[in-house]
Amino acid sequence: MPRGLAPTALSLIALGWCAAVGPALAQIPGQPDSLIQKYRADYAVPDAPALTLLELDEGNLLRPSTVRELAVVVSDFTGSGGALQLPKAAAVEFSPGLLFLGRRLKLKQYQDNAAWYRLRVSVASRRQEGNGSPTSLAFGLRTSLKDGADLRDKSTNPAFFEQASKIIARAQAIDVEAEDAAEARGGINEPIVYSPSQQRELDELTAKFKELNASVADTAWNRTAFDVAVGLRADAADSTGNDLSVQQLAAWLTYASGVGNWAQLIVGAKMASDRDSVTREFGVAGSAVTRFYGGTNKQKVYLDLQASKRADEDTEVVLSGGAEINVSSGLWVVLSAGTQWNGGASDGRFRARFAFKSGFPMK
Amino acid sequence: MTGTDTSNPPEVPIDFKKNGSDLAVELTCGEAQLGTYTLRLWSPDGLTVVQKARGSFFDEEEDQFPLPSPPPVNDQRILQCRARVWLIQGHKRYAVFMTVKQGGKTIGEASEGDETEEATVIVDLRARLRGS
Repeated sequence: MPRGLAPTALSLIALGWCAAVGPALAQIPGQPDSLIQKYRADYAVPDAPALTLLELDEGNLLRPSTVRELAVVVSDFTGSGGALQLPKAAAVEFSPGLLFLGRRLKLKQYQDNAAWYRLRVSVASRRQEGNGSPTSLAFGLRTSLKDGADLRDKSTNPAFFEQASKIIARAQAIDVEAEDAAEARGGINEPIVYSPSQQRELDELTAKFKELNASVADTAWNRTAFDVAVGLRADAADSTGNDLSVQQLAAWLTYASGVGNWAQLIVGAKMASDRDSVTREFGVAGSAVTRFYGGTNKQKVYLDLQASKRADEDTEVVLSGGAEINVSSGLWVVLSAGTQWNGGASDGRFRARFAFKSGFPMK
Repeated sequence: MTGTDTSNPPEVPIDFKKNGSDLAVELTCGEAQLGTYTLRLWSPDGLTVVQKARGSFFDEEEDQFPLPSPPPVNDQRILQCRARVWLIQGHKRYAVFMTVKQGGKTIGEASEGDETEEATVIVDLRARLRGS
């Protein structure tokens, strides 16, 4: 982004973030609000690219996720000493195609241009502790070229459409019988009456359709997915955006594949150009990650191996493992621990992390 | 959903030019949802069906139908679209549109959209065609 445009654009981003995230943050503690009631697919909170750029420990892997019209993700609830506090990092992610064009969007249009409608824009902010401290802002774009968890995509869920078509066709036949009977009895205002057997069958078909949806959704967490994303991070000297400067540009590729119903293998790569904190020069960095999840959607453990190389520095390797537990609707606990090696040196450093994450689809 | 559907939705007036091009109606199920429909063109008194069509919102067929020609024969006739929408898990919003066109140009529309927890909903759209 040209530097001349940065203040205006980032001011708009910050303004939008405050408008979108502010109310959500205010509603988190008691959790009885409508946002949580509206929570939809309770999969692990996927990091938006913008938020991923601000996550110091997890930025090398962008986890695939299914598109939602509008979602808020908050992260990093712990302050110094491990005390809980208002989140330090938050992002809003939205799909322009679904948010602005969804009302008139036909299923076939979506299926013919799924990658476009899965394109999501994210903006995120992360503040350091204390007033007047540095603030990071980020902007990201991502799309899912393949998403096995997307029930609207016939190419990845043909069985769902085949079974749903049978249910819908039978229900249409019942509707036609009742409508034609009403038409024969009178005019346009003649009530459409379903016989007890027709009503019973319609109820059964509705229950079957619900079961079909649920059965696919329950196993969707480890479906095949292929996400691509780009992002930009800028840091400011304080929360008002003074001395804003671009710190990193990044691109991710992530491919995920299920192993039965109980596991998922994710491989990812990140290429980035980031500014050296000392020389202020940009350098190229690359990372490769492989992560294996095992368990169920709500409780899973993982093993993660990452290798990163930046310019002429030594290769950094991190081996870590952890658990991801859904403690309540929309709220996840992430535990992780690992060891880091630099340049093959044997004195690896141990790192541990405990984090809450919460994501709230707003539309 | 009840065993008897007794609600009578309002008729949306749609004005067309009697000396204009032929009329057509297009049905759309928005929010990328699944559904089926029956389209009826009723006589002005709403007692006789003049034209009827059925279809699905998720097949390859275009959900667009020409109305009887010449246009003046449709004066005061009532268009009705009764659709059943099936909501895909995770997507609670639905919208159905019945759009009337003359010479390819939209001249009026009846629509209904909402958010629901139900797996399926019935939408009944009506429009009265008025020639001038």
